[in-house]
Amino acid sequence: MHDNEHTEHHHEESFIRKYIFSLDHKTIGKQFLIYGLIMFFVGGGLALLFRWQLAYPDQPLPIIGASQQYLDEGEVVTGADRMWERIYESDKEEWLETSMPSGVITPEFYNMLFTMHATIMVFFVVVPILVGAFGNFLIPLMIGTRDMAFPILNMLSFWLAVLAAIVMAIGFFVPGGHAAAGWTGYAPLSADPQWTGVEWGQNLWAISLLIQGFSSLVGSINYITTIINMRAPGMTFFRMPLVIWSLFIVAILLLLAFPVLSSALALLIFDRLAGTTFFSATAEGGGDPLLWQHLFWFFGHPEVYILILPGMGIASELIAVFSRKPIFGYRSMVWAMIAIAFLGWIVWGHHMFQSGMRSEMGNFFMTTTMLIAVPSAIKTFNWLGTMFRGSIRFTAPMLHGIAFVSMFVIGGLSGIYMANTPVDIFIHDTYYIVAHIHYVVFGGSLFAIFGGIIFWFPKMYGRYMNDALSKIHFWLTFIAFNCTFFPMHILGVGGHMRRISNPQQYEFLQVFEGMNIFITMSAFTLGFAQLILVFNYFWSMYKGKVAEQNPWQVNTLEWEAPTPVPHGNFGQIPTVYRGPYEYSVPGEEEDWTPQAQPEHAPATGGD
Amino acid sequence: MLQWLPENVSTFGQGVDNLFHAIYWLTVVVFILVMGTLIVFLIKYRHQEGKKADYIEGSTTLEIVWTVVTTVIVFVLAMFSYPQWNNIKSPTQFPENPDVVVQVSGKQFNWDMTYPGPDNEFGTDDDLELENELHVPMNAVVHIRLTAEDVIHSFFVPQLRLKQDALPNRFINVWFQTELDDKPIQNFERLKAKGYFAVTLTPADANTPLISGTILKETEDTLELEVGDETQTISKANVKQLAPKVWRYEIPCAELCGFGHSGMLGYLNVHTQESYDAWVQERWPQ
Ligand code: HEM
Ligand SMILES: [Cu+2]
Ligand SMILES: [Cu+2]
Repeated sequence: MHDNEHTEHHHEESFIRKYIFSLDHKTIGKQFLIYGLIMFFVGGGLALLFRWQLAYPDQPLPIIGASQQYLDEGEVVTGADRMWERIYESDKEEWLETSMPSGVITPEFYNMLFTMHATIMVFFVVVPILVGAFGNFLIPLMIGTRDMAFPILNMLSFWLAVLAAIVMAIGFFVPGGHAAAGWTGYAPLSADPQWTGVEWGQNLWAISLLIQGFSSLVGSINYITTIINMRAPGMTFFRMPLVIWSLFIVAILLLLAFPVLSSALALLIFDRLAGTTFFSATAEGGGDPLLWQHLFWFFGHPEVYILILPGMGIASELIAVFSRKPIFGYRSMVWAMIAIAFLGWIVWGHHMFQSGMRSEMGNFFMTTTMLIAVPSAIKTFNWLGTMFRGSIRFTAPMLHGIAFVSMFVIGGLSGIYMANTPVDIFIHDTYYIVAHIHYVVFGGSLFAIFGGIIFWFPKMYGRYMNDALSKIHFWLTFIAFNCTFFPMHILGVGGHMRRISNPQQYEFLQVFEGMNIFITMSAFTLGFAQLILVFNYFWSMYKGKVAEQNPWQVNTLEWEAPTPVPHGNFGQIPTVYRGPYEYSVPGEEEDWTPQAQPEHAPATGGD
Repeated sequence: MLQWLPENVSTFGQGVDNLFHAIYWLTVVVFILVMGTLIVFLIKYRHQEGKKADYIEGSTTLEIVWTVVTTVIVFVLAMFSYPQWNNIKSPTQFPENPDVVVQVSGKQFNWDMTYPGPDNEFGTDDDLELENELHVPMNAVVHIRLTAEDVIHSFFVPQLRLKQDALPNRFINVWFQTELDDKPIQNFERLKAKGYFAVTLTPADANTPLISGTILKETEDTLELEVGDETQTISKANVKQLAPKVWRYEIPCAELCGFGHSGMLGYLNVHTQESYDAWVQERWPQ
């Protein structure tokens, strides 16, 4: 492999210790990143499969689907026909035969596809990248310490996540197929195999998420401990960069929220395997399907903020750095995140407005949910304020930061429609929700992730990512993303239900055929555009332009460390003299003043 | 964008649509303001050689202003929404003495409708069970006892602006009242989208007899009608007026309920009083 002359470490570590079972937070962060990117392609591939079905219901998939002649007359024309012929002739029940005979997606398979798409994207892509990758890579570097508080737990956290992914992957190949009850796994559908025909798939889904829960717990304890105890001298809480604040808050949310999901999953497994009835109601008694929803969403709403807060943190870094200005209202940015984290615990009922809750409860949850729009608005205004009278550089990371803000605005505004109970009656469980989710999670979190990768890549690998490719990828993604997801608002307004495999079965949805085709074509473009990112990533790792130590002229501590960052991060632990966003300070020659740069005139000090 | 909303035909639907419109304009204005500001900033404050950014750390006044303003806006919005929501979903506020009471039960993958019959009691001999067909008289107050037999389903009638999950072992009451007009119409646009189903046509040619049938298909200029056992295609230009007898709306299931979720579909047939009386007479002959 590489020679590492920069490493100050004396002993040579074995390949396995260094790259596989590494205790180094940076390596673990990169491992999480690669893990998340791989899963991103799995999740995206599943989405493209079901998008095909939505645009061209019950027609064979391109390339792997059988030809029309074969379907009509059994005449073998294409290579795919030959494959299907072979599959049908063999005595074995082949996986393809049951899930998509002749390349046509069955309704059962369709349900499995969107269930696994969402499960993977939420639990195996966005959280591992935001929290696992950025959390690990950034926390010790940005607070100025040598590693996480518990490196072994840290490694455990990654390998538990790998185990969870393996268990999840096995689910695709068990008889009965994978889980097909939605990523929300509503009981009783999920609680009894008789309703879906899914046997071990759903069990493995639950077990895998339990393992993923342990991984998150271990990680979050580590983050919290590290941030509280190991900050560099002078790094007070209110001198921490916003991305560290966001990860700190998220770690607390994870610690408190995941056990709720874990207990729900455990009860679900009991229901499925031990004959209990926690989540099914029978005339003889038993539990209550709504119990699942309460537990799931009591976890689920904090979870969606887990998906966005680090994105907000990353975007804040990008916007401040590339506007060359302090964050507008740094403290109110912090308090807004804390407010979101608190309010996040008392809004879960907004996912259950139509579940039959008392109307008084609906009023309560509408009020709290609308209130949570306030800190979101505050953050948006502060991002704008940060750009105000700045000196904005349109680098690739900044483009992503700007996209984050604008897409998050759309996602936040669409949230108000659904928070409004009367309007939610109509748009609940329609594509309106699907549009909302994707504007916040794809438009928000993923753009922040892309921006963050390009921004910190030089620190991770000592090289820049290719700028032209990054920008091409950005614009393609931005346009294709909006073409894919904006029309879904319109579908929602038209009443188009989510989670249906064939809209053509409904008279009132006939008008949307063209729009569904358009969405699918955009989605394929969006999917293929991501190949550029991956190519750029791996190409730049070896061939990118070599980066200097602090290529973007950033104040925060990670850029004080040499590049590539050695084991132990810093030669000498830096001392922090000021907040993270001292850009364009009047009287300074440079437009940046690193946190670790000693005061030249002690008299002006005093933060 | 809101022209994509399906036609509203319920009394409370107008309230929902009004809120929808109010939020629509609110969000459009906010969106334009925020995006406009962003774009102006991006252009005006782009990096220029020799120009440094201004060192601005924030503004407490502004923070207070936008916190207070957004809080006030969301509270005002909430205040307008409570009554609408209660009106639709709070059983204590339902109109009393319904004209029709029906039990609707979701089961993989059908809607089972049970009418209590003339004695108004469920579980007696004169109950009537129908699969996927719900019949009600126009503009009547309808109460539905919603339940499910297996998993959770969701009763959704887009044109009523009504959606309610149906849960096993639980009865949830919902209500609606249509607001329809059975006067003959001369405007024949988008009849199917408006729910017109069984109709009586008065041909333009005064010598031709009235045609009664159900609309199967509609194009811009023609109607395909099922009359008795046969299908007739009639040019809209040859029709003088059209009187509705039954409007028909789809009742999709809106909650994932298994592999047959897509296509789980019932129909709400809203009859004119005359047509409803005939339907009742046919089911429970006196
Ligand atoms: C302004 C802030 C927001 C408000 C007012 C809001 C409101 C809502 C409401 C009321 C729902 C439920 C709609 C329904 O099922 O009928 C919902 C769903 C959802 N929201 Fe938000 N939201 C906001 C921000 C976010 C953010 C920041 C995220 C995540 C990053 C997010 C992710 C989701 C997801 C994933 C769902 C759908 C869950 C599902 O049913 O599968 N939301 N939102
Ligand atoms: Cu929520
Ligand atoms: Cu259903």
